[in-house]
Amino acid sequence: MQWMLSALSGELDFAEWFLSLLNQGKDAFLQGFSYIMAAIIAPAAVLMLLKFALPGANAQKTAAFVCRLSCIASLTAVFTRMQSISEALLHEVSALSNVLTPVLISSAALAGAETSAAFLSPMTALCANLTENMLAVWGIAISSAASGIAIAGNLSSTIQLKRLHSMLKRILHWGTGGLLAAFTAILTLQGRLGAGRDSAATRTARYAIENLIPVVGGNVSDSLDSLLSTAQMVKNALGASGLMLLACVFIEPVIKMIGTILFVHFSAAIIEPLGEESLISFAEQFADSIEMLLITCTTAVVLCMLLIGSCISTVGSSLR
Amino acid sequence: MGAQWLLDSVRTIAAATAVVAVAECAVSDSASDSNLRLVCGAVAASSILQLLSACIQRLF
Repeated sequence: MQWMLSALSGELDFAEWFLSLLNQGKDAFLQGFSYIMAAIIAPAAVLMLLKFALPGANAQKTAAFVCRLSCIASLTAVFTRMQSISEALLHEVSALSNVLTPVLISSAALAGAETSAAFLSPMTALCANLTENMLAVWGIAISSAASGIAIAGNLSSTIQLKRLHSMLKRILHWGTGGLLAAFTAILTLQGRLGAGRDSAATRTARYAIENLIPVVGGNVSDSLDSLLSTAQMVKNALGASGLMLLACVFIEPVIKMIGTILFVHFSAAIIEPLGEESLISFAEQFADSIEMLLITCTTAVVLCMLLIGSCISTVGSSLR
Repeated sequence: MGAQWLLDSVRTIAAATAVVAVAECAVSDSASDSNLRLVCGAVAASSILQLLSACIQRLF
């Protein structure tokens, strides 16, 4: 966020910023990679060695249980960190939406799109409500539940809960997909209806000015387009800044989550030849749980982007 | 938090499987192993059933 403010004020040295970003990324990458590799690969390797060293079946079962517990404890700490990152991101997206969209809607109304602005006002409340009450509560809860099921299903070798985990994953996928589809449909419908009414209102105003104001009516009517175009430019600049701010808020947590998912999958691929199925299964289900957090966050950001994009396109359509 | 019941249900399932996992380490012969598998399966299935019934109660 700090670099964004520096860039806006014209004080950013881009080369220096890019190099520092690369260094930070490299450090974080190595740290996260080594932690996750140690959390998954080390227990698998220790377990393989203990299977040769320990004679009895019970001792081997106990060793497998302890190794599984160690892996679960390490990855649960990673999931807790990812969950707090997701919650912070959802809170920031919601706050950004609450601050930005009223300004954009007011600008849309000033640019002649009063009906569209009136249509978009409840959509702001809907977007905030969906982000705060659906995604921040249910999205995070279902992801956490999936993580818990991944842990519970891999503690014991006799009880498998893969299908319950898969069901939670599908519920989240269908829920977020349906939410996005419904929100997009409502926005598109309202945008179409509002654009038609705004266009008619602008033409009526232009006609009234031309015919009711004597002598200078034509000149005033011509200046109306310039006035609305200027308001539209201001609105578009605001919208573009909002989208950039949203991208700045979104990019860091997303890179962390994608990196973690890839590390976990990579570690699972490494331990596959060792033959410890429960650890592989846990690692994959755990990566799926982080992916669910990522989907939740992405849905919130896309909702906000759709709303901002709709504000920008609303202003454009009023001048047709 | 509105989704607390979901997390509570998952905790119950996790507790059941944790008990099963500990008991599993103590069992040595194959007959006890299959009996344990039966009991554990029943416990886990009843926990999942409780989760689903809690879900249905809150939805409808």
